[in-house]
Amino acid sequence: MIRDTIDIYNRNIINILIASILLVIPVTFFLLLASEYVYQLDIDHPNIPIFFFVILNFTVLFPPFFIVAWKDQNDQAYRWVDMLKAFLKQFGYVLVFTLIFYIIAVYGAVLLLIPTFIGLSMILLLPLFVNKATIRDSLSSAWNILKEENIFILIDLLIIISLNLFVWSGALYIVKGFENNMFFFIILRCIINALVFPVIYIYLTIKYQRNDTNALKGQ
Amino acid sequence: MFSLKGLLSTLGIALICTVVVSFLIGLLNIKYEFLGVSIIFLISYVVTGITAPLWNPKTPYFSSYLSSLFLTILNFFAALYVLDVNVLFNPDGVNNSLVLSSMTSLITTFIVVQIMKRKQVNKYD
Repeated sequence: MIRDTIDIYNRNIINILIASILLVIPVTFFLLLASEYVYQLDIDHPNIPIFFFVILNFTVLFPPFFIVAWKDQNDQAYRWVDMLKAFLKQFGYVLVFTLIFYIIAVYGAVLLLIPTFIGLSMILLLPLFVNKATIRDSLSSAWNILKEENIFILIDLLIIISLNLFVWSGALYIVKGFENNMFFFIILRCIINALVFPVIYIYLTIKYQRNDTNALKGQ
Repeated sequence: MFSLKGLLSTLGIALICTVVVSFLIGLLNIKYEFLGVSIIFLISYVVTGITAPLWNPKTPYFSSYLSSLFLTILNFFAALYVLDVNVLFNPDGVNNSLVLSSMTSLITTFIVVQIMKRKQVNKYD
């Protein structure tokens, strides 16, 4: 599976680079600046909205790279404009549903963390199914995957988090001797996201969407 | 039939346009407050009015009205919790902003629907 992922990454490297420069780096930059702004406000728990911005950074950028992986798997042609269009079209949908499941995950932590796991798994799975024709279809197919795989989705979550942490700590180890400010760390984070995110997206698409030929019907 | 997905797409693209335009206003250093605020206002609600009939072709007016209302309420909440401006204590201001925003997007939707109808007629001639 990792071999397929690297293969697709290698074949579509030009489009992935264009999407990284036009989408991944600006979105990460704006969201990290927003989280810095939230941190300076006088609110009770600034970590909750900041973690929401970090999660949103992952989910909002899913639809353009989903198109890359899906069309490559099914031998269809596409242009880089399609990725931009997918991002613009699915932004509001992904934003609203990430917010809803994030609220469930945060405020359900009282109930023995069970709604937290369900909410995080739905946040991870829902961007895979945003291209369905109706909202009910996408929610029910995400829920079916959740019922089939149940606890093993958390292993995927663990892989994503540990890959991010690994690359981030490696990058910090290189630059630890320099005098740095906030903008340097934000730009470093942008570049790392542009490197790591497409691999994760393509891996998730191959794992959960390989045989679904109706995935782009609502597009 | 009304589609919720189109409404959410409209909201998302209006939010993206607001972010991009406010970034550009900060970058170009426009110092007149009224000019900056009115540019952001016009662009966000005109974009709402244009994209509502594209992604919600059966019920364009209702979609544009709902999305402009939703955006205005989001603006109120942002002003309350982020900027500490007590908007809701001024009922006249609330009334004015609701009427202005929904009127702007509804007029834009009317113009876009007329243009789309004209294009359809020209296609079959």
